[in-house]
Amino acid sequence: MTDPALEPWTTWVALSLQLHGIHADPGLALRAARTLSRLAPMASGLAAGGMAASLDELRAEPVHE
Amino acid sequence: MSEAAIPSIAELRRAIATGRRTVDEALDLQREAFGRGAALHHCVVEHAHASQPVARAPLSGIAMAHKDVFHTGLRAAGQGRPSGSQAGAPPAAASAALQRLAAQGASYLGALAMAEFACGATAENPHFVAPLNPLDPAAAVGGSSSGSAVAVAAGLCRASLGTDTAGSVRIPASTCGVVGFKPGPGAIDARGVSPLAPSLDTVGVIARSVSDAAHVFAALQPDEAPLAQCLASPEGIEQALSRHRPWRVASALDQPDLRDDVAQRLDRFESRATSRAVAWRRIALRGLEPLSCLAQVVLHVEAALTHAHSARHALDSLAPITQAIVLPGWAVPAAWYRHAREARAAWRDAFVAAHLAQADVLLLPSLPRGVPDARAVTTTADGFDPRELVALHRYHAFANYLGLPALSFPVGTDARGRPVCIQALAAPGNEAGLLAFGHQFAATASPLLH
Repeated sequence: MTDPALEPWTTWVALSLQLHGIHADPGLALRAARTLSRLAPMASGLAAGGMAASLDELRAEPVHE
Repeated sequence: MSEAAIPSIAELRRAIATGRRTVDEALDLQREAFGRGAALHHCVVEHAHASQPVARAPLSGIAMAHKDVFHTGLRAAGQGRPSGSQAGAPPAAASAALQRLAAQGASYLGALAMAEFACGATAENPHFVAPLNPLDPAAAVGGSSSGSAVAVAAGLCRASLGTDTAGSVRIPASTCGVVGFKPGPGAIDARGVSPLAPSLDTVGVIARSVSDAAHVFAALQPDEAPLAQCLASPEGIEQALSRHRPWRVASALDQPDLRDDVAQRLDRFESRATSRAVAWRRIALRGLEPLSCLAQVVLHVEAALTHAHSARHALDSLAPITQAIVLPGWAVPAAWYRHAREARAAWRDAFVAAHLAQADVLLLPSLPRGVPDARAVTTTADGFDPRELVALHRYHAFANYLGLPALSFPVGTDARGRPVCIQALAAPGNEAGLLAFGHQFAATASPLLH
């Protein structure tokens, strides 16, 4: 079954590698796409301004258990 | 752990200082242990020629072997590649760390096995026979400083330099039941060391005891550093490590992903250790997910740049785990990497304020699911389980991103008799305090280290 979140990353990775002159077989490119797809929600969110909220959470009063 | 024929660095120094052993006798003992163990454990890739050490220096009579990422001056670092990473190239100048150790009297025994290009959290390297875990041959050996951990655990040497980009000193040390020390960035001079991801890379020490690690770290510090000055007498380092301190401990050992027997062992450590601190607070660990993500972004991009030539011209010759680390870096969006680099100081300050403002050390598990079977973390094995591989570096990589000093050491064994280790983190610059904590709390915690 096709993973809709993975599909654009598969295309993006294949093009990026090709444009940089790196000849990776499709299996390797797919593995790289999976890595980026997994990182994307957090990495894109932080880069797009989500860091402030995460830092606020970190700076909140310490939680003692 | 196999027979420990080599006394501790402190004991060797005392024996030499009092005339009970000569420097040559001490070196003969260590070279014999190294040669004997090298034949058994598949952890040595190059034996060095014996040379005369600097006389009457703090580490005269102490011999060590190191991960094969250090240029020796006679040989370029092999980096876990089948024919050396720079076959045919003239050898680069000796690394600053090896030069400093030699100036402090230490002798060099040889180069130790590692994962290719320091990529990967295990010993897996298709170009070499994998070293076996001296504690249990079915257990995994962590990486990438795998040969260093095996050599120290098997008694080939008391200490070994490694490098740690996302846990590559602490993970192998934890799988082999020895001490792994990753100081802050730049605390050990990294010139002449093969890079992976330069802004995360740190030279560290794997050692049989915290005292051994502290001796090596002290020898690598500038002469004026307080810990370096403690090296002047054979007792100086252990006296400094043993000095009473009113420890304030923040414990985040209780994590949701702990395996039951690991959790029980950490509980037992905590219940024994609590009374030895003036303040011991259990706190929630915060920021792990975003920080781990940012560490991974930096790792992929910088590893891609470091190994750009190999990716473009020799991709098929790279180990699968190297390919998996290097290739994504070519497609990481620039915004991710830029944010990860620019936000680093803010993340570090916020993390330290949240976890270390009222504590000298923050405690975390090292390997939450214990030491896995080798086949569970070997990507080509039938029993490969990616979750076990991820668990190996879950609590390590973020410390490199934040630039915090970290120390892992065993506190006992799990239900299978494999080591259970904790990881202590300190604020930037507090390496000496971290080592003192480890010395005082590991001493009574782990039969593995004695």
